[in-house]
Amino acid sequence: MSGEMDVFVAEVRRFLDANVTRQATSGTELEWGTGPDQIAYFSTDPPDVDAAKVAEARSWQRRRHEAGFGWITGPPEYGGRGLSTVHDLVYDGIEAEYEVPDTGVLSVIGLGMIGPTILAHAQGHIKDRYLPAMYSGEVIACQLFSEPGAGSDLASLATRAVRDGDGWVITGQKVWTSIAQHAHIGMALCRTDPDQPKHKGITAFLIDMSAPGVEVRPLRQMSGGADFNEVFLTDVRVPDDHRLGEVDDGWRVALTTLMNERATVGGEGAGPAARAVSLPFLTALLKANGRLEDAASRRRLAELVADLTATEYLNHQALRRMQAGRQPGPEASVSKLMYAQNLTRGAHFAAEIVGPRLIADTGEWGAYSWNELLLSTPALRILGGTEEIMKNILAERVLGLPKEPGIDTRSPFRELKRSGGTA
Amino acid sequence: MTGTALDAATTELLAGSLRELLASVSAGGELGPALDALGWAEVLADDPATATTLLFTEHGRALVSSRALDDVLLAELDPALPPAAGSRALLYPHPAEGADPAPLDGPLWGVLLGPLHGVDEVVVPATAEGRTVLVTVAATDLAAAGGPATGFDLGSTWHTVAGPRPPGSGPPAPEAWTRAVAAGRRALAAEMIGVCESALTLATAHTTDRVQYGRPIASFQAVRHRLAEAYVAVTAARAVLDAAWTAAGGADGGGWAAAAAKLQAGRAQAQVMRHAVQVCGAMGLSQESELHRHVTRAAALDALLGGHMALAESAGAALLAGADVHPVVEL
Amino acid sequence: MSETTTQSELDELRGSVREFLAAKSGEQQVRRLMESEGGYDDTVWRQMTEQLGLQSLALPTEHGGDGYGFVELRVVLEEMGRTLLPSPFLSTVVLAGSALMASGDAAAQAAHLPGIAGGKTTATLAVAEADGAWRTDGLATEAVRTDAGWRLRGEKCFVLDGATADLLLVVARTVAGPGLFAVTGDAGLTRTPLRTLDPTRRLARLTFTDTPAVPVGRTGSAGPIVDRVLDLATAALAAEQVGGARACLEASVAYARERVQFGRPIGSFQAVKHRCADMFTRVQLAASAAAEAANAIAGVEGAPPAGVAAAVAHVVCSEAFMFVAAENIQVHGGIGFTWEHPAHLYFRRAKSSQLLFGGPAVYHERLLDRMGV
Ligand SMILES: Cc1cc2nc3c(=O)[nH]c(=O)nc-3n(C[C@H](O)[C@H](O)[C@H](O)COP(=O)(O)OP(=O)(O)OC[C@H]3O[C@@H](n4cnc5c(N)ncnc54)[C@H](O)[C@@H]3O)c2cc1C
Repeated sequence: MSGEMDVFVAEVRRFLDANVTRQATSGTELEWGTGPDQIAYFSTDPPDVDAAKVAEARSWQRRRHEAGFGWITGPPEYGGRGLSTVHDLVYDGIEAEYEVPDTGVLSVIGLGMIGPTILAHAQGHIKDRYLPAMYSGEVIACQLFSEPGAGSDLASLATRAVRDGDGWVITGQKVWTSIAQHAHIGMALCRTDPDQPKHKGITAFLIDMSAPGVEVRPLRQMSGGADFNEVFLTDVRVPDDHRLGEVDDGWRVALTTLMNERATVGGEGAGPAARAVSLPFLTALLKANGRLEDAASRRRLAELVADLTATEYLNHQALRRMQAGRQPGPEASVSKLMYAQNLTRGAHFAAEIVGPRLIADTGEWGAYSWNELLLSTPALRILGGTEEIMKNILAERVLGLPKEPGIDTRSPFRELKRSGGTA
Repeated sequence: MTGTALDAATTELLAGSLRELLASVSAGGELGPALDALGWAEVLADDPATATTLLFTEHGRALVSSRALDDVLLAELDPALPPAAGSRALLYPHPAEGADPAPLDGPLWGVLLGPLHGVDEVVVPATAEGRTVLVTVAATDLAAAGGPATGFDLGSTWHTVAGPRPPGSGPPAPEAWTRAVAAGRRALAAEMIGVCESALTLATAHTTDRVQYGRPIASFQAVRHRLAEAYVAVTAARAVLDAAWTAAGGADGGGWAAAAAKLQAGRAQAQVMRHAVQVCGAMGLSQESELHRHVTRAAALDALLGGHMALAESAGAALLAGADVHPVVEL
Repeated sequence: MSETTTQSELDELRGSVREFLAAKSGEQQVRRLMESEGGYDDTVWRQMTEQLGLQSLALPTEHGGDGYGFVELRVVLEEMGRTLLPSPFLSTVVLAGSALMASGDAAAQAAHLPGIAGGKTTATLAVAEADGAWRTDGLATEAVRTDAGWRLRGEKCFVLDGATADLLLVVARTVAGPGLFAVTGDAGLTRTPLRTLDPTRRLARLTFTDTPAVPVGRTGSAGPIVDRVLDLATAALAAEQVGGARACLEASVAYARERVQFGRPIGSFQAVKHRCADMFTRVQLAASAAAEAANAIAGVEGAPPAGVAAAVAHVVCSEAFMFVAAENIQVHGGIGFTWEHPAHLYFRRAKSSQLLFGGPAVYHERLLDRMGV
């Protein structure tokens, strides 16, 4: 590694050592039965605990930002550090060795997806206004894309934006909006011209979540918590300078967001779920349940660990390719599919080991707690593009297989057949 | 088997009445009296296989939580017990322990299918010197140890009982217990099949209504093939259950075949739920949708009296140890 | 050395090997060799040395090699796996070559490696006996020291290219523990070719009746040698498997685009399309695992321990190739099940590769062992 990177690494360590503690257990050693045994992917905390965690996340992000690590790849004029993706990954790798608050509420959607979109498509003063605020943890952003009638087929969305003087008036309904209850702004895709084909008449906006006419209603997930929401937009006024990209060119803007989304979901390595579905944790689980010598369990463990490790190798190689300045390949899609598959298999394997103690809480450490992960895994195969849609993309874009015939992308949006909604 | 088999038309009619009846139960009615009004005892005597399967399939479909399963097991246990002093309930071995009753010299641990009001005594199977004994205890003695089950299936009325064992003794009745478990497994298999059918109906309806890319998503092969696979799994489970009823007249009460039926139904529910959740998209993950209630109920039913993975494991172990297996289906 | 081989040099290497094999190892040639007695083409073997220097590529320069390493070898093996090249390359260069290297026996290396590097000697390593296990304890084959030198007695089975190899490296029991021995003559040696599931990969039984042999390395040291060889051999096999798997994926995709049913290419049906996407996912994962194993063995900076990476690659690539080879037949429908279609050749290769060093029961335990479980 170059000397410049060594300096960076030393700076990161200095910052972390001064502010947080190193994790007690690392690598392969693991003490079964101590510490929290929460194995959740989504929050299942009651609202007050949830709010406290969000506050912690924001304050940690502020400290990161003050130390120059809030937005490592961002341009300096908007509070970024102007360094490479590799620096960013190096930082993440080191930070994972420490006990730090989970900043997912900020990073996954706001900083990972909406931030880059604002940077690419917003006007200068809007970037000034929001980017430093987002990357310093002050402003939380959510993604207002999906609608009741527009899930996989996002381009069939129907929320209307109508020009009104020097601004716009937005009316419609969004759904499955993660963290909308915490968000200050949202990026919304709206229909501005229903007489054009569905991909053509869409415009993207930044919405102030506290504006009159914005109403957030929580939806409970099958895993128990209420991370996602319905968002009703009724005559919400948005100034024209909060438009992202050109009028009717919102699909292109959305693609920036979606590209960043796939990269975010597949690349996740940390978190309680990944810690649980790992060799040390699963081995300890087998040992605690007297199954470590059981041939069938060993075999399933080996199969799972082989795939987990190979997926890690895949991610490393993608990283090395980026370091060498080459284009990322289709690894992100493969990685996302594997990530969901590995966690799902891991959760089911653990479920088999703990058996009925998964479905009835006997108070035992590391048993009933697996149900949180088990109940979350179905979502990993749906969010950010379902498994089926990812396979369509791989098959059509990478392998060059023919598209599904008969899908209408030419007729005006108004004439399309849609679920429930009025076009 | 005593009575005459129900014909297809009668069966259909009965299914309809049961469906109505269980709908009223899930709206707050009581199952027992409603069944009495239907003359259920006679139907059951005429054709226990069809009647039990019908009742529990519909019970599963409606996601009703009741003590109907107690009647199935107690019917096998009653002959081995002293006459009842009022209404009886059964304490099931805690799912965490599989289908084997807890030791008599240890504390109580088990599950009741409902609260204890209206119950006079509880039959508590226990293991003493390697045999199952049936201890009867007064319901009032258990009240303190019980509480609503905290767990996965929040929609059920199950109660967990844990605490010191109240005094009481009872006759050894290992054969009766074996027969009761077999009967219970057949009923639970039917109930899981019912939950699956209902989930599959939901998923089929959702994917037929839901339009993406200008057409119902059920027209995409990725979706329809999942539904087809789920359907095959349920059909296979039903076939094994039918075969288990044929074996029910055997000496051990058809224990092997009943375990196979429950195993198959348990596998089917895992597969059906996985596919159903995936084809419903985010909708299926939200608690607004009925689907998650099916997922958790099916998993809870699977765990009672031995989950499918545990059953497969014990069947495998028994086979390797040289157990004599009566084929489930005679060819 | 490997660290200085750039991506474009690797691409160039791949290109020339691919071009060579397209000319020398097309389906017709493979099928002809399947029926032949020796199972491979002598001329092609010589041309591999003369035109491309493949045998010498990864052997050390002091013994006639070119001094490259596993990073380069992986590319070659992938291409060989892709065309199912019937050849004693895996046995000669990988098994025997790395056994000689791992033995640390300078005299044996000087005696045999130049011949291997120059394409003059074919060789193999015989470890497994009747039960097929690649282990060095509990061997029935024994080596005894007589006045006339060492003699081997016993039987080895599943010996890769054992019917044709010039040099046989044999693991046998001695009073000092398992040892490695070289057999070069035919005295006291019976070679019986076995019928094989995969006709492009030959296996034989070797019977030793007081066969003269020369010890290689310290007597009693075969355990660690075989361990090291297995890491290299499974990593090499993984590369071959990736090549074969990729060929299956490409065949499926091409067929799915051209075959029309119900008035449209079958590749437009999701059942077929998603099958291809699943195949692609497994192939990508396998390719990553094989590449990481090669890097690890070559000692590339930042790579994981070689034993771990090789064990991971062996599991992932075995499963991937088997999966893809089976799905390939499914995508092709009835034609994929005919003798004339090459799909079954890949299916045979996939299964024989998966089981060559013991199969799932062995490779899962090996992985856990390498990971310290
Ligand atoms: C936990 C969670 C968090 C989310 N957070 C957000 C958020 O913050 N913001 C936001 O905008 N959205 C969010 N979403 C929504 C997510 O993007 C959508 O759920 C997803 O795009 C799928 O849409 P859908 O749920 O409507 O499923 P549908 O599109 O209705 O799909 C249902 C089923 O049909 C299949 N299907 C559909 N079309 C095809 C086809 N052409 N070929 C084959 N199969 C097909 C799907 O694969 C799926 O199995 C979230 C979802 C989840 C689960």
